[in-house]
Amino acid sequence: MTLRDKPFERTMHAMLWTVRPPTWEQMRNWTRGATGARPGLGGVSRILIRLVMFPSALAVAASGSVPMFVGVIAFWAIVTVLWQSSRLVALLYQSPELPVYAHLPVPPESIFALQRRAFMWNSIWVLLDFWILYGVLAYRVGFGVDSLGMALMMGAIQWWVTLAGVTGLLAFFPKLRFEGLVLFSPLLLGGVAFLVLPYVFWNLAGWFTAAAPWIPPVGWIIRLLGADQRGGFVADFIPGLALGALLTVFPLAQRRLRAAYSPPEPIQLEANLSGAAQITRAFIKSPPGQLVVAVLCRLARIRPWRKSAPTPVTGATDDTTADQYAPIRAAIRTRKFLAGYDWRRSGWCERLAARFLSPEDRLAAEFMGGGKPAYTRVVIIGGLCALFPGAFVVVFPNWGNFALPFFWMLPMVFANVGSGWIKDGKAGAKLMRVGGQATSLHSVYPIRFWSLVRLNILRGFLTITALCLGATVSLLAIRFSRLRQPAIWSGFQGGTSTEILWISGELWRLVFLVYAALPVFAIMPCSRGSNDIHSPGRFLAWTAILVTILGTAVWLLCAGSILTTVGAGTLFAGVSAGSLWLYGRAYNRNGFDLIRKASRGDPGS
Amino acid sequence: MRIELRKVLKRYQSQRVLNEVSLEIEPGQIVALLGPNGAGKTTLLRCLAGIVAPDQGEVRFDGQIFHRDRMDLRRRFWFMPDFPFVFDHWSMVQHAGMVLRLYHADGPGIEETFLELLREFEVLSLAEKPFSALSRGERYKGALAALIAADPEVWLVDEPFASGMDPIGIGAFKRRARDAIKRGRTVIYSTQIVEAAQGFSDRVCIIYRGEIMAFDSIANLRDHSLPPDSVLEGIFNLLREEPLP
Repeated sequence: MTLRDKPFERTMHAMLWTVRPPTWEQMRNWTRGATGARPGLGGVSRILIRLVMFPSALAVAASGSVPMFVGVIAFWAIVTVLWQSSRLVALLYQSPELPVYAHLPVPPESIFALQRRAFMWNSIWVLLDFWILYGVLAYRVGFGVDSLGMALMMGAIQWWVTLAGVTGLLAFFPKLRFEGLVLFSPLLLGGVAFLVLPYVFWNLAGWFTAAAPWIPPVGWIIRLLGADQRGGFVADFIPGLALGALLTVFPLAQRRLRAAYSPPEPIQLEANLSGAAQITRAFIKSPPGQLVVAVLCRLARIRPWRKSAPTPVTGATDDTTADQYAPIRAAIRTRKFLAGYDWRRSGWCERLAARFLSPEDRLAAEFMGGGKPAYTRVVIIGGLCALFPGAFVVVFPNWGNFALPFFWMLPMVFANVGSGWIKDGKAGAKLMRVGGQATSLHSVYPIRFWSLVRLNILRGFLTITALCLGATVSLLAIRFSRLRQPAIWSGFQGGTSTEILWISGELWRLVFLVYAALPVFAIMPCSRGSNDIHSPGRFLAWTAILVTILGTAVWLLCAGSILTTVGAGTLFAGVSAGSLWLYGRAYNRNGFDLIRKASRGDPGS
Repeated sequence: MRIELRKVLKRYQSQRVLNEVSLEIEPGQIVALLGPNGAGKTTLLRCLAGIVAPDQGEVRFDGQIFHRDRMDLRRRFWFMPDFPFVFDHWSMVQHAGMVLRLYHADGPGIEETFLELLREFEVLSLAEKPFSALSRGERYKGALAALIAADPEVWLVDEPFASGMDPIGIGAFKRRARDAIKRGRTVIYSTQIVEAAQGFSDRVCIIYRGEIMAFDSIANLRDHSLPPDSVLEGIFNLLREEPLP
């Protein structure tokens, strides 16, 4: 079922507005009253933010220093996330359309998709806000006329990251009163205060300037523009890490939010919106209304609210009825269903993998991939993601610095738009809910732990290699385009993270780190449905291992000399492989259960 | 295959779900694990299947300690949860193909066995439809048909009579199980339906609060001077008062 069809939405809006205007207004007011939102609060905050705070901040920033302006941007990024969160809450739970949807045969996930899409378009103002803010910042840093185009790209990034932040906040902290936070939080009060008390402002600006590197993507963007002059690898690393972490959580948060969403019950709404809802319901139940609903359903190709029970078909019990199933019988008798996946006629990665995998591992790969290992698909999509920045730079050489976000963003975007890329090859690790418990699908079948690990490592290796090869080509393209147009690029040297990475070799250390961490990553799909950290002892052991891994990783990345690098790298790889060995031993020796208590985000059975 | 549990203890937090359970099951019999809700029946089956790890004690198959890496032992039994673990986008035929290969049971003639099972469970018409389009009982039948076709030595079935199967499916399951024990297979299933256990078992294992209260044939359990037509029900009533000796 989709509500995304344009004709459906047009007709839906037309239908909503055919309800008499007074009724519509009543409904809007009653909805606000029913859901506990204070009437007019949203309007006040919007007016305050758009007409007072924003121009004031701009005016103050225009006369202040660059670090102060960075603080203003950081402050604004936080307020924007809270503000947009309150708007998404309103759309999902307090919108006047909801009582109407409640009377249509529309499942909650479709309402969620519709309201979220409306939110995305409404929140496009964030792009405009940050276009202006980053434009002023870039101009102040010295990018001249180019600031306008650069800031548009940065505004788009900020918009996307704001969506990620909003989704994360709503998914993991659903009980926060975001609108109240926007208006009454110390942030805003401080913001108001700094407009009237200069010395307070300076202190607050200092705090926000210090916090800016940790606020994605502000930290990364100010680094890119050269507005943050702090040096060192950690200062380079934190903004990217924070941005990457947020974008990684984004698809998870979105799934969690979608799974947890249930629109307000029609009964609850009707109790408070008796007048408007009854009129709406009466309209929908009337012959013209039903006609409209029928047309809507046809336009939107709506499936019924409840999945219809499959038509009971009596099986073949005698020869007469058996004949109609002759094709099925013939198909089974060909034994094709026992042939399995044809590794020789599949993609080149599968053919390559088949050389290294044992027959048992290949069978496990088929199972874990839900029938298709899809290794080539993983490599192609990963490579294309990483190649995109290079292609972007070749086409738009003046905009080279903006290529770097794609290294972080594109895989996440691909994953988020539902390509299923991230899930490929892991269908067998799908969680199955059994009562109040959850376990992985593979746990009831005879599949060896080390087969699962080998497959996870293989898949991880292919993905990382594809990303690295694509990234290398991209970096070469970026470098080549710089050499070709040195005059244009000279102004960008200050904050060019790609250049820093290229020269210092830290990128290559990072690549080594990711390869060496593969054994630990390979544990994750096996661990997902188990209670391996259930007991305090095992939890502490895992914490110790992870701390060691993290510590050696940081040591490796920060190592100054070759010898230290080799030592740290060897230790890291050793700890990673040792952790896998220990885990495998515990798994194989029945050290923990392959079933655990179900958590809220787990899918249903 | 001979099955032994030796002082198996399983705790969930502080609660002992299985309290030093010891049990020996000889091959060629149908064993019903009977007990009220929360007695530990499913946990016992999961322990046997290696999904749940005992905190103490051990599980032995043919005298050999069972660990998850013992694939040779693992392929000699199957475990069927009360909700079948299948890929939604797969059909019964695809699922059977994978299961039979995982159990190394894809030899010549298996397709006829599988066809016969589909007919017997009356799901031949649904054999090529994805599981997502089937009802719970139909999914269960499809998954069960594949596992029965694999024909390992031990069947571990969780609540088959509360699986959503219709009487046709339940009948087919009982017939197949009886055929299997004639070939020396062992069928262990859990249930809380007294009549089901009474009518379909060679031995009944009564579990209560993680302890085995009785493990014997229905005939021997009658010695508890209870009315013969409601032996197990009588034992259930006794459980409410005090454990059996």
